[in-house]
Amino acid sequence: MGPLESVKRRWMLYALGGGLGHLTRVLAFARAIVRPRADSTVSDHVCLLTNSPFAHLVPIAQELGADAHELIKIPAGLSRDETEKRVHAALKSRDYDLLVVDTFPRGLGGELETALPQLSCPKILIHRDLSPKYCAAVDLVPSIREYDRLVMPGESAPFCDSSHAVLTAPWLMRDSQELLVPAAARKLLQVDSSTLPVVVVIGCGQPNEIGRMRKAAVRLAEEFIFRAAIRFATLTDTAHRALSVEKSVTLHLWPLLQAIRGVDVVIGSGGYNTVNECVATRTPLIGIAQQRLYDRQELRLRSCNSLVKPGRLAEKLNEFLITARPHNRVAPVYENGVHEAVKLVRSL
Amino acid sequence: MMAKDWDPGNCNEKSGFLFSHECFQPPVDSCNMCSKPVCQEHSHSDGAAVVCTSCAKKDQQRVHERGGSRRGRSRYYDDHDPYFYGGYYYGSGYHDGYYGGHSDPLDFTEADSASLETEGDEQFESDMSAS
Repeated sequence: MGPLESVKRRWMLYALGGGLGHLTRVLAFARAIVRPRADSTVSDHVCLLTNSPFAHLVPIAQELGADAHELIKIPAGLSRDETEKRVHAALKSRDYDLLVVDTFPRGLGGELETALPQLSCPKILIHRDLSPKYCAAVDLVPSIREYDRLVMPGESAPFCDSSHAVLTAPWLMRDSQELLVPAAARKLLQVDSSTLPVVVVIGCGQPNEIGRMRKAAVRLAEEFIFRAAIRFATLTDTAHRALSVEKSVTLHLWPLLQAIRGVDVVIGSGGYNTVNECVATRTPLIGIAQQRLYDRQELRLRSCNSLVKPGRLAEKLNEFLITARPHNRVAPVYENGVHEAVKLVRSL
Repeated sequence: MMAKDWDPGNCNEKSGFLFSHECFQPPVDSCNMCSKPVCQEHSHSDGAAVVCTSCAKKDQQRVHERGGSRRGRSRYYDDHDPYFYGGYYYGSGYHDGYYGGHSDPLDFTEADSASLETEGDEQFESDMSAS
């Protein structure tokens, strides 16, 4: 091979898990992988394995480039056994140089326990907080030992003390210099006023949770008319349903992070992406903890003083609008951990 | 091994959610394992004995390493204890919450926490829509 001949590195990224969070985090990582590098002859290709019910709504090709990725969508409604078959088939039918698994050391259905020892390529786990009940009920240690590196994306995790565990800054879909300036962000949020506080209610997660947040957005829009511009940001197909509701505007906007400099307060859940986006950009967050099997949203929200009871949303928003300091329009500067993580993995 | 000279007037635990730092709270007890004076926040009890956060974490680590993780929880482990959550890259206090960082401890009660608990372990690795 000549010195100028390019080498292709193929990444298999496992992003199974309900909702949008696993896909978003892995996509943020994938963006950093495929980002062109002037100083390297290595070109990268990612294969994304997901069962997110939102996968068809996320502009993945736009984020990664059509030639730099392959998307394997496993239907969200499949049984554990059927999902296992699809995952094993995907892992066997593709060639890849390394495997990156998000969150679940044994895979979402435990299906990686047998697959990992058979793979000779380097294996990396995106190691995050997990429910202690799960850690107690399932033996994670054999699978943890299969990984060459545990990368913790901004939060600690059960095996954080392992010698091969590394902590990076949180992984985000946009670098700080990619954020829209406030005027452009407010335009994207469809807010004409330059002074009215902008409140974005995020509709994500399970269908019933999206429905509840939609209702909350409508109620807040009625209650806070003239005091704030309430926006409902969601990816769901049924977004058009709320368009008929007066005084509230539903936005098909993803990722919200790009427009966060136009947002005065976010109302959302305690998921990884929502919380880390708000914390990194210092955007106030009124957070509602949703019930999850593995993720501990309550503690994540508690740790950033953002946890409220669902029934007190309006009260808390009112408090915020009365007491909030004038919005700080200084551009946030934060470290996006995806770049360090990619560098770490490339150094293996 | 020589016993450590603990400062009896202050909590001597330095565990933070992510970063270690001095704790200036008054001690309410001493650790059953290392004798360190500890404040209420840094005390962890199994009902009989009190240990400091560092010893509770070490105990959890030992349980993990000894028996694998199956049923491997230290008796001091508490699902709702932020010290066992591990913490965040930015550390506690970086984010102001929603209106200046004044959290209201009465706002979210134990009953609210309990409502977020999932029932049983049988769903683990069987619900493919979980996260």
